[in-house]
Amino acid sequence: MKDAAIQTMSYTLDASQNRQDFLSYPNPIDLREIQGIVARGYGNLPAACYGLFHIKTPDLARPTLIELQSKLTYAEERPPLLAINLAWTYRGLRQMGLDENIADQFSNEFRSGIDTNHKRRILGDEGRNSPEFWDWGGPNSSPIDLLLLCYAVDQASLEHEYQNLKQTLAESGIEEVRRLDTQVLPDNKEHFGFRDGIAQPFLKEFDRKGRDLVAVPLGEILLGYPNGYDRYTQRPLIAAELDTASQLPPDPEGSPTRDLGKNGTYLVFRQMSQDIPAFWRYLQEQTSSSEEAVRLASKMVGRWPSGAPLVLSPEEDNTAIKDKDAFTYHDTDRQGFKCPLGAHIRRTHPRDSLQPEPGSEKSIAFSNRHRLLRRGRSYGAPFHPSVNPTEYLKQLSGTAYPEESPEKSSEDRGLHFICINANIGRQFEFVQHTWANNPNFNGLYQDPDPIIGSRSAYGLPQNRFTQQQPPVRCQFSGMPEFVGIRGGGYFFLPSRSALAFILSRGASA
Amino acid sequence: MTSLVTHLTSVPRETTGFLNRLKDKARKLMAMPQNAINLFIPLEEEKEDALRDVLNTIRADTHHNAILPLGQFSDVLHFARFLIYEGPDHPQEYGSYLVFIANVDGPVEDFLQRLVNKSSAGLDAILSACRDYPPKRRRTRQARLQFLLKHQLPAQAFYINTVGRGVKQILEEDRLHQALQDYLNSLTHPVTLSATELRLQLINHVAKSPDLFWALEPPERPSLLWKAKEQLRFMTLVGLGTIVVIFTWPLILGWVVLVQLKETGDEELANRASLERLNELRADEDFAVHNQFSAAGSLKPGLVRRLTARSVLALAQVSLRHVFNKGDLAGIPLLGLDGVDTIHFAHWIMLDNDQRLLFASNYDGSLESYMVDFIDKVSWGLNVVFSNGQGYPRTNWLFFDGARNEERFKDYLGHHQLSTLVWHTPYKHLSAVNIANNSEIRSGLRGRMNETQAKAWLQRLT
Ligand code: HEM
Repeated sequence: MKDAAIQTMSYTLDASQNRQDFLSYPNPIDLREIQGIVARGYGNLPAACYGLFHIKTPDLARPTLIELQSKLTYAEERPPLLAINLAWTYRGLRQMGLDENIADQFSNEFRSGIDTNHKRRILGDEGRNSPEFWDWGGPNSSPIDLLLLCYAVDQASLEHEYQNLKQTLAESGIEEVRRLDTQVLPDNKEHFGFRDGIAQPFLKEFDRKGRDLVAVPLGEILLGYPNGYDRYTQRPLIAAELDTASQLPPDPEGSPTRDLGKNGTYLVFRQMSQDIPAFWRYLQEQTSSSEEAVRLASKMVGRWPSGAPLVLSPEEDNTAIKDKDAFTYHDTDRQGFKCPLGAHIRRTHPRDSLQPEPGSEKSIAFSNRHRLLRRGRSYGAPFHPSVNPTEYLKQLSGTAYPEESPEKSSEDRGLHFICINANIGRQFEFVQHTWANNPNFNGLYQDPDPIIGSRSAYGLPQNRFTQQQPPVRCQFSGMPEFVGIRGGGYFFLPSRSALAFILSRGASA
Repeated sequence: MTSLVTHLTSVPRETTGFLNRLKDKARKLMAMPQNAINLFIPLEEEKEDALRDVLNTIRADTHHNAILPLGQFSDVLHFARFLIYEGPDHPQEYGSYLVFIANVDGPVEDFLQRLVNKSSAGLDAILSACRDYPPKRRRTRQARLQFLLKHQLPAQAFYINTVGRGVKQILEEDRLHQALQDYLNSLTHPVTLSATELRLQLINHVAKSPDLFWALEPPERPSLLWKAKEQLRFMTLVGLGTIVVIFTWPLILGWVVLVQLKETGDEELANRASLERLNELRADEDFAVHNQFSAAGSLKPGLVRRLTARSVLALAQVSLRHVFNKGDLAGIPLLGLDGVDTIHFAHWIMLDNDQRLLFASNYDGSLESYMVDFIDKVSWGLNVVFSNGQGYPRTNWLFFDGARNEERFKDYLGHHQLSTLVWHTPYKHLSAVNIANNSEIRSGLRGRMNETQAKAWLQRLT
């Protein structure tokens, strides 16, 4: 294949790094093929927005999209000023004329979309979170074909770039359905006041520090590589003669077909609004001091506001270990006395705590087949500029609130949750359903994930949170919903050559 | 058995009573405390649509519908389902069955008798779509019962999560758990008592509550005599098995090699079921903590496969009945094999002269998590049983690969899963792990415990 090319290729590295740093071993991965958002969250580009677009006239759109290709950012470079990535809905691919026989080879989840009745049930998108009420991505809002992810070094250049793009697209019949803005909060916090974006699956191929941690197989995050079962995840393979320009890589499994999925992956997007007053008021009601409230909230998350994990620092916050991710649960905290069994991070990544054989490598391997590469960003102004829970609590007890400034509480803020995975069913949906929403998770009875779990299941209310402790647990009930779903969708993030193929005429043969 | 009853009609009353009691005792001793009902009843083609309507009405509320309110059997009925399964010659020839599969406490005959007594009209509404159902004027209770009994098929293998735990016990212990939770919630936290003190307080609370008092007694369990009989049975089978192996091991070895040779040539299904079909199946799932799964397929042709399937199922049946009967399916720590604790009941039923195999189970979680459990934890067990099915992902030496091929395996299930038209669960909020935990909570109300034991017990109240 392109082996020769890979060996002789010179990568563009981060300004601060030399080649050795970037590639921990001879890298078999062609970084020029992979969209940048897979390899990095663009932390150096604090201004960002997401554009959702609808293709009205495919023929008009095609040349513009072909031109757009050269603007996209790939994993080979760490862009100092600007990054753009592009993802597609199934509808978008079909809209561009991608042949049905090819499109049908994408994953079932991607093809069905996020809002079938069954998906609503397992994702908890029911009641006031039903797709009917969504701002975008639901049956009552405009259809979406494209997702443009734009990042820039400051707001002014983002504005400049995005407006230009939007105009160019508009001129060729690609209409903006919605623009989603983002807001970076101090210390990388999310709106409830906790440091976010700490724990990520360790991908050896993208590691710039040459660390030797338990790696998640690349095939869990990217198509076209061996996954956690040492197999290749379902993806479109195409008869070689359809690939007239010979731009696609061959099927790594050795068949004579070409791999349209390789170096591409799926991106899950959920716009989640966060009700800061509801969250902190509930905690206030359940406790008798602001210290206790913060403590209980940390128990729900599994990390303290600074980011320090509870298993390592059960009694108080400790900024010295705020980014610590090297820990397990079984040996240190089997019963959940430090980090409750139902805490957000213990559910969404149970590490070594579940069957088979908790505490073993088998258990870790099991968790590692359900990992998500998180790439989301917050949106909306913070409830208090400090994003500090203590200030939140003060503000909530103060007389100024709520009567005098209702707009502060009703202002829409939340998280544009974005995650990347090769198998939406086994990864994102499994995590959301089997671990987060499941009230019976890990031997519990009526406990959803306190942060993101659905508050009803099977026609029954599910609103408890249990804090395990000696001699007996303390249980909190009547926990309202703290987040709501405002939009969402499943997207395909194609590789460089896949995108070229999709935009070529051959794709619609 | 029923013929015995008719013979006895001329015998004096007291003797009948005594004989009946004796017979009942013997029957109890021989029977399992939990049993599987598997009815396969041929349908009349032109009545199938009407039957589907009837089943849809039941499905809307399996507990309280007007036709067959299954809630009235909640003292003995665990899970129940209705399906319609095509005949072996479909689509050339119509041969569909109405399938009823259920898990009950106590003998099957007793349940069917009660069904006939309580719901004759409902049964008529369903069964009148079946071939040879007695015409209206001949529909006595006895005739209905005979009809049902006649269409029973045995399960070649039957998994019961915990042998001896009836639905009444499950529901009662759920009530106990909730009551203890409420009591704990009424205390001031953190509780300053020692674990032993707190435990005593809980026991006291139960003792003082007239509606919980029963929990201090151990649950009804199979008699010692029954257990001894089961032990004896198991030992005999193991003994016989050992003898067979000693004398025929070269034959068995040859057999395994033969199967391995065949395996390499077997076709495997290499495509996905249509998205429409898969979504249709998903539409019936995830309404409770647990789900139903029904699937059926053809066995690979030939005597070798047929015999392999039969022997494997027979072996499976022995291990399910005597070894995997306490909440963990297929876990053998000694061999480093992991089990699953999420399956409530499962059946394997051979059909059509061993041409086809039907599998039905009740499991916790979504189908995705069920498949993942299969692949990650018990692929070897699945491989042994299902690799005799046509199109199953290729196995190696019967145990290896197969289900480990994640996508092929998921695709295989997608092609073979059947729509479950009606599914009934009496405890939709309880996982198998919850149910087992509740039993442990109850048993911890009895006996002495030191501080460490009391601490561990209290952690069950999460
Ligand atoms: C408004 C919604 C959400 C909030 C406020 C939130 C908050 C957090 C916080 C504070 C952390 C700890 C920091 C870290 O480890 O990076 C975290 C970790 C995590 N969250 Fe969320 N989250 C949200 C939604 C979700 C969703 C929808 C999912 C997946 C379905 C998810 C999956 C995860 C995972 C996998 C981790 C890392 C756990 C680990 O590896 O230890 N989160 N989240």
